[in-house]
Amino acid sequence: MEDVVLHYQPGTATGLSSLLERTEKLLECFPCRTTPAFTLWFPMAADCHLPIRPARPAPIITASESRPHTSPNRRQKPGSNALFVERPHECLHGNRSSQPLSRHFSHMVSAHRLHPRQRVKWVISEHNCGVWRAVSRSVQSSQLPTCNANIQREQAEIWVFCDVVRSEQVGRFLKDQLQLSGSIRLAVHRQGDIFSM
Amino acid sequence: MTTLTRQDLNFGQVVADILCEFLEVAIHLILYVREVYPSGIFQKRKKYNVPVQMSCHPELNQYIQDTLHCVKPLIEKNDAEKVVVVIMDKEHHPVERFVFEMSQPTLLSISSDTLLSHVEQLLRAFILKISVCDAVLNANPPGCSFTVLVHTRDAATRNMEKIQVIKDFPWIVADEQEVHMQEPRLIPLKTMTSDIVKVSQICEETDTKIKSRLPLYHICDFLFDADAAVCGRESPEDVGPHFADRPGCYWAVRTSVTVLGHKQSV
Repeated sequence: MEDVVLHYQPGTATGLSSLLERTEKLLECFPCRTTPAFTLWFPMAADCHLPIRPARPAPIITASESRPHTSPNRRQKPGSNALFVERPHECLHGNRSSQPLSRHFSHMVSAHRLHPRQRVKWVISEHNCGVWRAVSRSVQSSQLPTCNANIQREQAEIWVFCDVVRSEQVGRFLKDQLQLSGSIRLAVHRQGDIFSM
Repeated sequence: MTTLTRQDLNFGQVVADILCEFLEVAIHLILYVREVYPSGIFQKRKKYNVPVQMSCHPELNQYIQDTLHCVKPLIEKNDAEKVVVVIMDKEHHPVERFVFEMSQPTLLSISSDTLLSHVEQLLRAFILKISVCDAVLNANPPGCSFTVLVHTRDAATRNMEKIQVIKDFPWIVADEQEVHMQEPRLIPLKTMTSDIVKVSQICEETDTKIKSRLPLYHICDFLFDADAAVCGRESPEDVGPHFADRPGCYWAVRTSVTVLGHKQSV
């Protein structure tokens, strides 16, 4: 503390001593505190680097409520970005565009390490080649969505290409709808035949 | 070659339109590929001449549209530095981030052959990357949700007014907890440079996720080349007359992978 200068009216010596005592007492209890550090009330520099996000959380959709909204021919809302709606897939096994694979088939898929979107082909052999027209019609009329088919005349085979995830459905469709006799083989590029039905 | 400024022909708006359209497709596809929502709400469509999965759930679609509608003015003015799609676990900790970093040149050099179709062709490669990124990412825990973070070039608070374009769709500054990710693993997915915009796409995933069932492998580069993408089909016979009514609609198929540095066939 700096020196304290006391101005007083001259009088008795006792008066002066009591005055000094009172002054010392007053200075003793005078609050001495450190000034608080200055903090900004406006956003700090660190806040500048924080991004912004919508206050509302994204909707939560459960599996049970996921089905009713799948209307393929839904009209686009005005202002929404235009996207081409693919042809509806209701022809393959009713309205369900994709069915879960059977346990046996899933095991085979995982054993061969196949990607769900990998292309595989069903091979319809020689004695069933009469069904080519029916296969072709099915593909063209979207009864076999995402499939492609061609006839290999030299090998007397029909090849029906599809995704792994749909291959079991497609195989069943070929067997049941086209009433094929004998078995059809599922082949993968470089691995050859991996399954038959 | 003509040199234009950003004000000419309102290129900011054109870029914002292109990017928001792309982001909409990308967000839908990320949510499908990373299984944030049940696959039943998604439907296959065609965009940039490749198949994509788009949600059919009106509430989710509205949420994504509102988000991008608000982001558009920031992109238009080149104020948005990054748009990040964050996938969060049940405790709202980020487990995965898809970062779209974007910048626009101040001077635009537009040549006659640099049309929007070229940009769309480049964006197609991004979409293809997203559609197969599940191969290099670990599975997400169940019950994940998502949010969209927008990193701005200036202070976030300065851009609040610009982004608040929909009355009942407010925006807030994200919490540190929502932004910070524990020991992220960085996976650069794609970078494109065109005359009107540069976009980088990076994926980050937290190290705490359970290691997935598959060994880490890198997908062949040829698959992601925008032009070569159409060559990713299984065999030439896989493209026949039945695709005549859907030109360019091919399927990208992985034919080989690199496991621990050694290229292998699958």
